[in-house]
Amino acid sequence: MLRRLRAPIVMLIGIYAVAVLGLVLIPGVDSDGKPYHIDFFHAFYFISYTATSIGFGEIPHPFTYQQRLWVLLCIYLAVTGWAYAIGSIFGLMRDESLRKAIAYARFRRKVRRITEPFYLICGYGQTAKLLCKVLDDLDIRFVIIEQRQERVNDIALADFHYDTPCFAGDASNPEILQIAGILHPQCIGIVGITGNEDANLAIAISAYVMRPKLLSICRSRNQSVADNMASFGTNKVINLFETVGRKFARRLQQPAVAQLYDVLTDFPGNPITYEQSPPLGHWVIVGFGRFGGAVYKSLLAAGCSVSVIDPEPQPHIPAQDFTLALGVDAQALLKANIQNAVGLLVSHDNDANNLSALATARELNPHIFTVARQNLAHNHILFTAFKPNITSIRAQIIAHECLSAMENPLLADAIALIQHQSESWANALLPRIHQLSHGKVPEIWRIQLNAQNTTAVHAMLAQPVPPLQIRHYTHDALNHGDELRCLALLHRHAGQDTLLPELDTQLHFGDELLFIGDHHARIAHNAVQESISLLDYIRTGQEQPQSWIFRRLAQRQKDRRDAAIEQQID
Amino acid sequence: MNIEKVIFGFFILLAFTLNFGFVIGEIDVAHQHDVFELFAAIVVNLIATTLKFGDRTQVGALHLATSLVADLQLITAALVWGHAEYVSGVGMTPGVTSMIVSFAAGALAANVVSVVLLIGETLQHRR
Repeated sequence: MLRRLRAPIVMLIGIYAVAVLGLVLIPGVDSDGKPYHIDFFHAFYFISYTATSIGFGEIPHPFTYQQRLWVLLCIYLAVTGWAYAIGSIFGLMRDESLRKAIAYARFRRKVRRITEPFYLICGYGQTAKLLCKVLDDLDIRFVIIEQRQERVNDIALADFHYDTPCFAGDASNPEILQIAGILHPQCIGIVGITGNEDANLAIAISAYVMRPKLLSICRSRNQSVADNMASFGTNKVINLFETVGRKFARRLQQPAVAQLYDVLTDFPGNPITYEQSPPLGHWVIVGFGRFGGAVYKSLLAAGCSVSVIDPEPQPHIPAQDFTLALGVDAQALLKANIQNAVGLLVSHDNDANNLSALATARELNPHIFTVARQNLAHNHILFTAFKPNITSIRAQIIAHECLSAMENPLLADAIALIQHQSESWANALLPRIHQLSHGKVPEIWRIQLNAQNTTAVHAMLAQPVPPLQIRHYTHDALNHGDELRCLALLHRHAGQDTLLPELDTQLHFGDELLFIGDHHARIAHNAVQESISLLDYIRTGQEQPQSWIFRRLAQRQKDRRDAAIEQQID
Repeated sequence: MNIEKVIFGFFILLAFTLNFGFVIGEIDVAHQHDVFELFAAIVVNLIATTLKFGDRTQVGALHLATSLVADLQLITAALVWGHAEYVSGVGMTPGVTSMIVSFAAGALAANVVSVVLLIGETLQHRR
């Protein structure tokens, strides 16, 4: 870079040298009329303030005609020289490669200085936008790599609580992953949700090679890539269309369990929405992509009859169930027997076609249950106006899946267990969850009673009396006497998981607990985990003296009381 | 012949010779050391320093370092001169003169290294 400033700097030095030398050589006249020569020091001083157009005047004596002629020349030379030098410096600063180099160095420094656990998010599309917003609300830090510069500019405008390091670069390049902190000791997970299938696969591979034990979550569109990712030890592969299909199948077969699942994987703080479960009977699918295909399979599995409308021929579907059309006009829909259908799925990859098909079908059959695929998040207003019974938004589904995998592994295990529970079990639990945080999606957190938790060491090993029970965790340590709005969802003891453990379950060292509840309960539990005296409070119901003197006093009072009791007995 | 190499060599040698011209003479006799020569030496040294910017090789770094040392010493000599003449007003006593010349001599040593590097580099690329 300095090489490019050589010419202007040499030019400036030359101009100054010539100007100073000329001023020293040209004779002047002092106040007594005697000739004199300006010395180098004063000549340099004069040229310095003249060249920078400050202009203090003629020193030490007024100049002669010859001197003024020389200074006139110097002024124009010097101003030109400065203009050239400053122009070159600004040109260099605007230089794209230099700016990139500066952005790179700054990103690298920011990442290196992170002192809290953070996630590395590759790709900042619609999914990542949703995900980052929620992570930010949960006070979790993250680093973003995004290929496109304009999206990186979006991040700067996104108004996160933390200064989020972001970099415009290719996340499939392991070097960039490295400077983005994949090897950083505080990095707790990597999320590959770029729009590019190959890039996501490359991220999965890099994560496996560089940090085999790191939590990695990657998105894929087709099964072969998903299998490939899984073979690299990726902890969670989100296969979009399969996820959608599974979700739909769950809604058909176990509506209450599906509802519970949705609440537990939703973003904390959102209002809990109760979606109708899709009816069984004759269904029409408009647009048979991978999305439609996934739903088709789950409908057939649930025993429904299905008619498919698609502009491409589909050899796998029996001819009597298939109509070759776009599905936006009445003719094709009538041919698919829309009047007698109970449900309609519109799943073109074009929102305008989806809305058009939805409108036509509603006219033909006003009571039909509708499921619409919304491709772009900003078409939200249109879909809300149309009110389909279920709107499936791609970005949201993936963001939910990412979040449930990121929040904690215990939740994933709990959800897996919940899916094997009965409908009545789920129906009993749903109102309790609804009550916990006034109809909002509850927060979910984990308490580990292990060696890293100093209060657990105290309560389990140092002073095991009275024994700690789950019931104790419902006492509010911050507002004495209050009950916390929280529910123990899962208790893991010696590798054995129990859903909804009893309140009098005794806790042991090494146990893990998964709680759901409101924000206050989470804060209270965090406080208990950090303070032995608070833990003793929830355990005994009495405030414990904290300082040495008060502990001594309390001990003495207790001894005296015991002695008095003994005397009475005697 | 490479014109860049000519300019580069020219300024380095000129910086050396001007510096040498200033230093030569009795160390404490003021009239044997010309103020214009010191001025020229400083200007040429600054230009030589600028020309050495941006060379990323090991030799380039050493070149730049020697030049910076010479600049520092010569500017110090000029500052001492200015201080003696205008601030303290003692004028060019033998003590002040020898101080100025010894600073310039230090710069000369740095310039010698610079010239040696230049010659060494040239000989290395002999064909």
